[in-house]
Amino acid sequence: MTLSIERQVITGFAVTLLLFSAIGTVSYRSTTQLASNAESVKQASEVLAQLAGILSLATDAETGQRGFTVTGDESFLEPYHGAAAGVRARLLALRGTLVDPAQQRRLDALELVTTERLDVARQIIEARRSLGFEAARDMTAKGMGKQVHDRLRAVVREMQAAEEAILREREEATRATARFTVTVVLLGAGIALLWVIGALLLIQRSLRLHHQVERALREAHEFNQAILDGAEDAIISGDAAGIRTFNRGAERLLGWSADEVVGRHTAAIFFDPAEIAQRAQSLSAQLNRAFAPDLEVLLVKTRTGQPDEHEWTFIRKDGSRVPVLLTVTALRDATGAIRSFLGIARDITAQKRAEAAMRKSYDQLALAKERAEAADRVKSAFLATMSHELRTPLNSIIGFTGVLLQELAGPLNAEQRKQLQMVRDSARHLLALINDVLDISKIEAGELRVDAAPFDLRASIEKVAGIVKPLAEKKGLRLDVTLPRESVETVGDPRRVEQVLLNLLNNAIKFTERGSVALTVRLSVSHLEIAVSDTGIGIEPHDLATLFRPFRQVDSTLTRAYEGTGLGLAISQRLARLMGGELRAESEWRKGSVFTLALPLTRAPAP
Amino acid sequence: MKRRILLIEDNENNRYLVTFLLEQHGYEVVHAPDGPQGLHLANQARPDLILLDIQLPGMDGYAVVRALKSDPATRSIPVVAVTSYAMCGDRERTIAAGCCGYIEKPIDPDTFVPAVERLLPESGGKDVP
Repeated sequence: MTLSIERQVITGFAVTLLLFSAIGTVSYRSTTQLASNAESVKQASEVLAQLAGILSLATDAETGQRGFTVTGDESFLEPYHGAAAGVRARLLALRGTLVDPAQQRRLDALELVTTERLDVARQIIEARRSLGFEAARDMTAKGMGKQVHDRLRAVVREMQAAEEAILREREEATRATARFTVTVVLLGAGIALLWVIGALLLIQRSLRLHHQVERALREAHEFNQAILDGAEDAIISGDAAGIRTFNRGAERLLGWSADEVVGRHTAAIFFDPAEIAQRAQSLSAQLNRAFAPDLEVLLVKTRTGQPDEHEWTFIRKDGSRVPVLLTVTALRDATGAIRSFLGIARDITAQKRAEAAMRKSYDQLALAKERAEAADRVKSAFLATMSHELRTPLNSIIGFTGVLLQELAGPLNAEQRKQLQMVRDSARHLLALINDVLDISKIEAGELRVDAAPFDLRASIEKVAGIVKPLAEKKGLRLDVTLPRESVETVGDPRRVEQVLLNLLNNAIKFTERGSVALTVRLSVSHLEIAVSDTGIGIEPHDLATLFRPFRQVDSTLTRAYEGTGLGLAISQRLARLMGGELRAESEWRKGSVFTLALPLTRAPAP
Repeated sequence: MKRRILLIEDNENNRYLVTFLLEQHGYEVVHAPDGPQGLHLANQARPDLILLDIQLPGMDGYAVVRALKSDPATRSIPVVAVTSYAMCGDRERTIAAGCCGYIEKPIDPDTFVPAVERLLPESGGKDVP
C-alpha cells in the first residue's frame, strides 16, 4: 500500500518474470530429461533387438552346422559363416551401448558363451569334414551343441529380462518427468496468470487513483482560478524573473491582459520610480540601513514575516494613474526561503475621494463651529450688556422713588406716596422680569454657574420666611415653618436656594385663598428635602407635565400681582438640578399642591 | 470733619442718587466717571472709602481696584464694589481683586446707607452729624 505505483508495477513484473524463468527452467530440464529418457528407452530396445539377433544368429549357425553334418554340403554352412561375423558386430555394438555394470558383466558372459557356441559348431563342422558324418553325429548326439546353446539362451534371456526391467524403469521415470513438467507448467502458468491479473488490477486501481488525483488537482486548480478571477482586488504574484499570476482584477485595474505581462514583465512596470525611490529613502531612514530604489523595497518588511501594506500610485497600460492600497506578502517554499511575492492591490480612488470630501467637510464643520462659537461669544456679550443696560435705568427709577418715599427730598402727600409706591412696585416687577429672562437665558445657554459650597439652611429658610410673612398675613393665610432643631448644613448656593424657596412660597401664597402654606424640612439618606405645601387651587394632572417648562403659565386667566413671566418654576427646577438636586411637584386639583426641593447633603469636609 | 467717600460710577443718574443719599446722611462725596479719573481722585482727595462700579467703560472695576491696591498711597483705603452683575462668583472675584465689601444694585435707599456705614472703618470720631 505504501509502495509507489512504479515500484508496484516493477515488483509485479519482476515477480512474473521470475516465475516465467522458473517455469522455463523447469520445463527445459524436464524436456531434456524426457529426451534423455527417450534415448535410453531407444537404447534399451536396441539392446533387446541385438540380444534377439545374437540368439537368432546362433540358432542360424546351429541350423547350418546341422545341415552340413547331415549332407556334407558346404552351402549349408552359409548361415554359420554369416553368424560368426554378425555376432561379433552385435557384441561390439552392445559393448558400446550398455552402461549398467551388471549388464556389462553379463555381456562378458554372453561373449564367452557365444564364442564357445560357435567353437562347438566349428569343431563339429571340422569333425564332419575330417572324420566324416558319424564322428560329427556322435559329437552332436553327445549333446555338445545343445548344452552350450542352452547356456547361451539362458544368458540372453537373463540380459533381456534385466534390460526390460531397465526399460520399464526408464519408462516410469519418463512418465514421472512428464507429469512433473505438466504440473509445473500448469501451476507456474496459473500463478503467473494470477500475478498478471493482480498486476492488472493494481495497475487499473492505480490508474483510477491517478485519474481521481488528476481530477481533484484539476478541480482545485479551477477553484483557485475561480477565486483569483472572482476577486475584486488585483492579485499579482511573481519574482525577479517576471509576473506569474495576474488575475482579472489586476487586468481591470491596470489595463494589461495576463498574456501581455505574465512571464514578460516584472511588477516594476506598474510602479512610479519616483515613489519607489521615496519609499527606499523612508525605509532607509526608518531602519537605518541603505535600500536601493528597486522592487526589493516591497519585500523589506515581509522578510520579518509581516505583510507590507502601503499606498502606491499604480501606472496603467495607458499611462493613467490609480491610487492603490497594496499588501505584499512573501511566498516561501518548503524550505522557508522566499522565492516570490504575492501582491494584492485595491483601488482606493473612491476612498481617496471620500477622504478628500471628508477633509473638506471637516474643514467646513470646523469653520461652522468657529462661527457658532463666535456667535455664542457675541450672544454672551449681548446678555451681559443687556443685563447692565436694562438694570441701570431701573436702578435710578427704584433708587429715586425710594429716596422720594423716604421724604429725603421733601414731604409727600398721601396721593403722591401711593402713586410713588405704584411706580416702585412696577419697577421692582420689571426688574424681577428682567432677572428671570436673563436667568433662564443663561441657564439655557449653560452659562449660569451656581456655588456648591456648604451653607446653613436654617438661616436661609428664616430669611425667606421673613420676606413672605407679610404677604401671607396680608391674605389671611397661616404660614407654618417647621425648622430643624439644629442648624443643617447642606451643599449648594445659598442665594439660589433662597431664590427657589422664595419662588415656591410666593407661588403658594399667590394661589391659595384660604388655609395655610407650610414649609417643612425632612432628611433622607442622601438628600435634604424642603417641602412647600399649600391648601390652594392645586394643579390639574395634565398641567403638571408642563409645569416646569419655561414660558408656561398654568392658568393664564389668573391675575398675577407679582412675577408673571411663568419662568419661576422653570428657573427653580434648573437651579435645583445645577446644585445636584431636584424639584418635584405633586398636586390634587382644588385641594392643594406640594413642591419639594431636594438638595444633596453635606459631603465630606469641604475645602 | 465730614467723612469723604469717592464714588467711581459712569452712570450720571446713579452718581446723583448715591451722592444725594450719602450727602443727606452727612457724608462728603467726590465722584469720577471712569477708572483713570477715579485713580487720580483717590490720590488727590484721600477718601475714607471708595464705592466702585465694576462695569466701567474702558478700564473695568477689577483693574481699578488692583491699581488702587498696588499704589502705596491708596492701598489702605477700603474699596466697596457696587455692581449689578449679581452673578455667582462676582462677590468672590471682587474680594479677590482687593475689595472689602460688595453692595448689589439696584440700590435700595432703605438699606444702602446702613450697608455703606457697616463697611466704613471707624476712625476720626465724629462722623455723623
